Amino acid sequence: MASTIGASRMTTGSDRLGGTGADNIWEPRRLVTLANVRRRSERVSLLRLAFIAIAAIAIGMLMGHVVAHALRVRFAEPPEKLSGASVRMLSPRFTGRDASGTPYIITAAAAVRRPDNPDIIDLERPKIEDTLGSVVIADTGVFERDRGVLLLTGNVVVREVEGNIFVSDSTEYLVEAKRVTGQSAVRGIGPLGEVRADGYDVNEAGDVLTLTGNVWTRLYPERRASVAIGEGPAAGLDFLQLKDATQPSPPPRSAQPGPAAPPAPSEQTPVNNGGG
Amino acid sequence: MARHTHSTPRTTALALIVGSVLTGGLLAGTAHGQIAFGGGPIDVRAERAQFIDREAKVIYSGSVVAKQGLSELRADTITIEFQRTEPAGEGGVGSGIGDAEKIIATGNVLYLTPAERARGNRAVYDYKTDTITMTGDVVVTRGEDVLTGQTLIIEVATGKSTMQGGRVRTVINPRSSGTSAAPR
Repeated sequence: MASTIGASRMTTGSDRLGGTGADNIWEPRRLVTLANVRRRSERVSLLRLAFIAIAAIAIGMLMGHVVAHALRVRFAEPPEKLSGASVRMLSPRFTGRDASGTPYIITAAAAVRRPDNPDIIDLERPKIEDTLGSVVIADTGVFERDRGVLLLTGNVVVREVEGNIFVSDSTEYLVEAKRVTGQSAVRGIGPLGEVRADGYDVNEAGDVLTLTGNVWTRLYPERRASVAIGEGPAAGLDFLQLKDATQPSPPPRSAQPGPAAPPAPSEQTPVNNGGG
Repeated sequence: MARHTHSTPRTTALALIVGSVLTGGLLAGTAHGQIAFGGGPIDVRAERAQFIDREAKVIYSGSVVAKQGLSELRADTITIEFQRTEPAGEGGVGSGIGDAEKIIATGNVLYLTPAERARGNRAVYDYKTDTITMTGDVVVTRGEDVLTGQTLIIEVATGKSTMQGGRVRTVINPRSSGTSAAPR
């Protein structure tokens, strides 16, 4: 005797066609027919094809956009040059070695490359430092790379680590020729004395220094402590505020630098009454 | 007289070179020399000055006037020679320059002090002996007294002058304090 408690009996389509209600308790809710299966398979196939097609279209669109853009760029007309445009660099930093091989660093508040001549670079508040601690600053500078010339103008100040300070209005440094020239007055002050002249020239790789025009030198018998700006012979140099290139420019001088000119030597000495 | 050696470190570009040469040459060693008793700062004026590192010397030219206190040394050219503590070219520009050794004045040399006036063709100040030696048709005027000769030696510290060489001629005004001469 077959047990029927808890047993389920699958019904087939034939059962349904010919089966009774009691026999259909366990009948699936969906009647699966061959036709239905085929229709379902067709729908799945269509959906599969549709999804593939959509994916292909999407990829095609993306790739097509990229290719089209590349083609447009390749065959596009070259961009027109911008007239009047210049390249400006903020807080630039240049490094190099001088003729003697000693490294130096040039910084500035800004550097502007001229559009008409890229080999010329204008410097704003340039500052030059070497590994020994000496500093050179100026209001402006122009570097001509093709000629190897660096021109500093406006309150050109050289401060050495030993306390010597030299001031001039302009200095031209010829890198290739290893020459430094200044056509404006130069004034120097330090623990050992002072010097002033209308112009100067340093030649032969620094071996020969020539001062020209109203040369005046004061030599102190004893080496003094470092000169304090604004005191004694350094009076009038209060504008010397050696700051970083990023700091505001020092105030302009109200008068040309220079100590009070010593009295000109007299032609006649007080006790001379004649000669031989 | 205090003496000390000053050497300038190697410098690099631009006016750094100017700075070091100025330091090593024009502002160095000579500071402790003197052309007048009592010392004090020395002012030198000229139309041109040239410092030659390899030769360790400074050349002032063109109506040169060196003044210290009440004393003056005038000439067409004044050359200051330094000691060299390092060979030229080593240590950079201006370095290796020691104390001054000599001051050489040439061409229309005139040495003026409150007490006397000495004229000659050439004068040499020696730092070691602290003396000025003037040569070439020397004429010394002290007050109303006149002394001529070929070589005049002035001791800067004491102000004593000695005429030597050639035919020494002295013209003494009876009212003056007199002069010293060592004819040969």
